[in-house]
Amino acid sequence: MQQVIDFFGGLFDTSLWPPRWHCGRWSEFHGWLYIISDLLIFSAYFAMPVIIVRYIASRTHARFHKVYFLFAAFILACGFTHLLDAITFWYPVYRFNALVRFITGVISWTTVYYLIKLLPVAFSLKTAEELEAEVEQRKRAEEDLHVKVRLLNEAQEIAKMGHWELVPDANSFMFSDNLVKIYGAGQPYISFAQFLEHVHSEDRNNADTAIKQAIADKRSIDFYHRINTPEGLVKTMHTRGEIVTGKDGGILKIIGTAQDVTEQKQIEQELLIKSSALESKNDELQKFAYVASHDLQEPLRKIRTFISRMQNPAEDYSPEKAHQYMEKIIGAAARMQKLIEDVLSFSRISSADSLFLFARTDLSVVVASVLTDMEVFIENSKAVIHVSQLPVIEANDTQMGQLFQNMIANSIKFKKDDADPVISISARVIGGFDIAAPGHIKARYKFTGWKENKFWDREQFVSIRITDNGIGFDPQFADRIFEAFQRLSGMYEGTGIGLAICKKIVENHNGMITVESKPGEGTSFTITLPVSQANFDQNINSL
Amino acid sequence: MQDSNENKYQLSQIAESRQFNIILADDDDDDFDFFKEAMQSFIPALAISRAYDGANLIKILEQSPGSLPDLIFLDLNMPCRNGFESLSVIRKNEKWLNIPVIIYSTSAFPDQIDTTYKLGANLYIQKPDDYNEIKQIVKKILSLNLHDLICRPEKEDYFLTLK
Repeated sequence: MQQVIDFFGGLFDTSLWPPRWHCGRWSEFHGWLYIISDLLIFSAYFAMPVIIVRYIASRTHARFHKVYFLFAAFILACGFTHLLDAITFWYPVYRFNALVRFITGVISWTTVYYLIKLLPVAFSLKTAEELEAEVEQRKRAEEDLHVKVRLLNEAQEIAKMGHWELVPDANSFMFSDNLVKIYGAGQPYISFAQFLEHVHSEDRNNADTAIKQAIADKRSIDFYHRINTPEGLVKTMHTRGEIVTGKDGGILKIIGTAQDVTEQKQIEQELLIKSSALESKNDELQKFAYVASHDLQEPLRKIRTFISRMQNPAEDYSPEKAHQYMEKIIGAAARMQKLIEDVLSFSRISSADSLFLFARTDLSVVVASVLTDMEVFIENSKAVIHVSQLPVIEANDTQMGQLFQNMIANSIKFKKDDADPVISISARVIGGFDIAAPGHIKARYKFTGWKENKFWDREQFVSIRITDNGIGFDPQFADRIFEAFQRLSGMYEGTGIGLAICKKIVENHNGMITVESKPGEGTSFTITLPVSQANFDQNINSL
Repeated sequence: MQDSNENKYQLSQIAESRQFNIILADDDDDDFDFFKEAMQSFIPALAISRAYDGANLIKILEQSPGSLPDLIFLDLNMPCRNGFESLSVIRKNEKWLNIPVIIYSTSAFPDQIDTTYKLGANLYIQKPDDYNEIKQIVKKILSLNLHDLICRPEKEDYFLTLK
């Protein structure tokens, strides 16, 4: 113990040993070689830790800091032992020297300890080559990912669909690139309220309820809704989604897809329209067949009955009566012929001629030539016909002629007994928005997918009004007068096909015909026809 | 419905014993003439009036509540209101409920027979093409019991033929 106290008490005491120069026999050369070598080692051992420390200081992310410092300290300590060796040639501080060596030993073993501990980690570290290979691999993976993302985007574009994520807690939607495009949303992150703003006002409540209900019930989402795009288009979307729940069963998010099914919906709609048109056409045909068979049989039956009377030996009839019966038989045969002619012209209008040509047709010219053709008939009936300026439209001139001829003949036929017929024909050009119930015309209009009837309202139509001062009829039969073989009165001769032909012609031109009348107060027909056929699909009769 | 000459409810007897009004609703002039002539060949004094179509028939019924017809003959295929429509209008009116309606049509499709039976017509006859047959069917009708007719026959006996 006394030795330890003595040791630390005289740590720098040099009195107990001679300087090294005087210990043993050193030649000058030997001594200085020793001293200079020690100093060289010391200076080198001093420089090294400085470099190491500076290196570490510049690499904040380098691993194994502690070991680097230990190394630095170990080298520095070794250096100091050499410095002290050199110093002892003049100042024999052997005690301090021993202490420094001890410290060096301790630092050395500490370093060894840590080295052993770190070896496995150090060996597992990748070499630069390995790292490069890995970087290369990652680059390739990244490129792959890019290609896949691009393919996904392209696939979504082709399928007109996109995917989305909704985080209910954050109240936010994330749209895929293509969905942003479809919606015209401008950016991929939108709030739920913003999403609802994109939804068509009539579907907004539904969409809101569908999503909220699905979240409440943890059910999947599957519904159709329309959206308004910034360009003013109305699109129909099919939106589907699945709830993603966490381990605790709580809802993390909803992921889903949305597809632009506008075209499919339109096709569906068109099919519906077409099938309902076919149905009504079928209905019409059935009615036609029934009534045609009835009306066509009537004259035949009549002829048979009259002949049966003339053949009956029990029947006592005068030559006048016989003549009367013959007249009736001839009349019935003529009527039969007229019926067959009308049925033929009606069926020609509705079927074979459906591939007729449209051309620029001046309705004034058409009506003028009809009036010339009907000159004798009009003169005999003492009818007065006023025709104002009529426009030029895209139409089939033959059918237009037939239309006006039938309309004029109809008005003259149903004249009042006590008044000469006065018929006026006038026209004005109107826009789509002027048509109160466009019904089937609009169904065949090409641009129906636009908000607020953008195009429809500007589409031009001509509204032709044909008014007479005839007997009129009860408005409850307004629809029936356009049906083939339907006659409103048994007191007038006729086949009941004239107005049916008119309706067919108007429908062939994607137009509509309506009538207003009251018994005794004349009749007013309104025929609405598109000025141009360009924006209309093929008409119902050419289905 | 058997012929019974003693039956005081037989149509021909009633028609001869008192003023008996028949109305035929038919848009065809000739058909009306045939019918009228055939009827009057048996009972010359029979009053037969005419409605030109279904709407006209209803109008006539409405305008003469005091002298309603005893029997209505109704064509089916007519302009304006056809026979079916007229029939359902007649059967919906309490005052006209008990007037026997005999369908008198050129056609006799099963669905027409069914529909008119359901709508409450009393008998269905098909207009014959032969005048002699018209006379025969008229004769057969005149031999019917008015009481039976008002009570409506069973469905099997609803369609009356010459056989």
